[in-house]
Amino acid sequence: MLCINGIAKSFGDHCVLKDVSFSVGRGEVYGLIGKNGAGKTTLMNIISGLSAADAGSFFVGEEDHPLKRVGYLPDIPSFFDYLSTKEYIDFLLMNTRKTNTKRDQLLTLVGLKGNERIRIMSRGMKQRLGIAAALVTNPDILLLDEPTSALDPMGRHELMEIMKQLREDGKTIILSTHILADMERVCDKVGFLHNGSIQREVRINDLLSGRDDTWEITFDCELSDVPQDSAIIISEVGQAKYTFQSNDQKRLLYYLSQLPEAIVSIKNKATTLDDLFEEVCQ
Amino acid sequence: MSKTVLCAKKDLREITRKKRTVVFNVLIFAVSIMVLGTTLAYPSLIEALTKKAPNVIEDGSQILQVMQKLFPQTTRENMGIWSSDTVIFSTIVISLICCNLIPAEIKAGKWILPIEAGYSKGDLLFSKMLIYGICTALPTFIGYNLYYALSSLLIIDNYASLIALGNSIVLAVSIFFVTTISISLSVICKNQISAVITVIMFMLAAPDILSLFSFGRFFPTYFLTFLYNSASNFQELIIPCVVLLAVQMALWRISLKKLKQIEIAR
Repeated sequence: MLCINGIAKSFGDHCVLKDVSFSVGRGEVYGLIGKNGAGKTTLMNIISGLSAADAGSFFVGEEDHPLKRVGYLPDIPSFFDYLSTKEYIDFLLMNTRKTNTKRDQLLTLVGLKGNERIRIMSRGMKQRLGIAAALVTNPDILLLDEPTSALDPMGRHELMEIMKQLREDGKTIILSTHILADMERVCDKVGFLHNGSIQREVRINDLLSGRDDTWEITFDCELSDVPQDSAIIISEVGQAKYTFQSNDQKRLLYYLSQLPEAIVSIKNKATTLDDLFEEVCQ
Repeated sequence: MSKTVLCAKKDLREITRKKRTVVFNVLIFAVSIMVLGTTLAYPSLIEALTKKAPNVIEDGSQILQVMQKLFPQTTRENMGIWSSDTVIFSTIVISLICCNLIPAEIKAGKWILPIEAGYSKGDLLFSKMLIYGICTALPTFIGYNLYYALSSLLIIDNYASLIALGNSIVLAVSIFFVTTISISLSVICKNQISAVITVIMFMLAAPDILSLFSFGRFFPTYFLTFLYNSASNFQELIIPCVVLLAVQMALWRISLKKLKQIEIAR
């Protein structure tokens, strides 16, 4: 659906993107994670066609069916704020008639009535309008640059629901946000953009599937005897602390109940996006 | 065509909802009050002063002559003064308002979504020039004719209404192009302040300087000299009009080229 090959971009002497390559399938949500200034917005500007790359190429669509439609929601969307939401969407849709089904559908999708004055709308409402605006050309690929930044938890939740619905509608989404929990909620795959290239890619399903099988358990003293079990992998961390890895939770619980030592604490030892982000950035 | 209409509709909403039409109307009204007020008040004021304080104003008749030249008691000359003052104040206000319109919108990222939706930079620039041009020219045209109607009742009327109508169109066209040139220059010039200074200097200084030379009548600034004299030979305006259109076309092309180079992404 979207294939990016060796994109590079510099501003003067400052090289922002060196060699960015990744691909996203149809109906997938791809998360871009990176520090401030890592080049996420620059990359989105290039994909949207607002900015030209110094090197590299990208291809949107299938080889026999190229697509050009890319919708882009900038990090801080800016509107002609003297218009109402309905007038603004009409303007973008190039609609001259009073009634328009597409406009009504878009406004309903993002939960806006149409008579709101943009000038007095909250940041969350503006982000919703931004999504509707990015969808006016019925794009196959949607680029969302930090759409949840500065939103309250409720606003974030609502925006995530809209994104899930868009994914169900078959839209391919590239999402950039610093809120990694949001990434875990909606993304299929994430890429860590660091030092001008994608350093690592992770499938969220792979990350989540490993979340329930590794536990860090602290006992009141060192284990005197560690019975062997083929379904459980045990490794010692030190100071009466051990990690237990098993897909079979029942069996793990039974195993732990058989141990004479008392358990002081149990912590899920799953790898999170935060851990991976720290790892990549180090 | 529909893109231009939609952009024009949007800009019309901007200019009315941001009360910019009010600013232009108030400006014309203020100039009218100033010129008509002083025209009516000064002669009697000077007369009264020369009578009451003959030692302070020794030769009242000379001052009276100067005042009559500055605020003439005949409509034709008075309209010349009104036009001149309107051009001066309008140029300052228009250049200050218009020289930041396009750069501010681009800087704020307001063009990103419309460009993504299929509008071109040219569509957005053209409608801005057209609508702002009309919205500054129209109050001037109406103001000129209203002022003429009022002044012809209060002072000596020596100005044919058809010529006044012709001159009101000339003034409206001048103001229209002051606006469009200001907007074009705001895109071309790197610094908006330099665009403002260029417009103001050109409009306020060039007509006086160029009127000293015979070739001055071929430049667009002759419009202002023509208006100051409330002249009636409209054929004289053909060459300046062609030059003005050529200048505007050249500025339009340069500003489009410049816009293409500007990255609208933040």
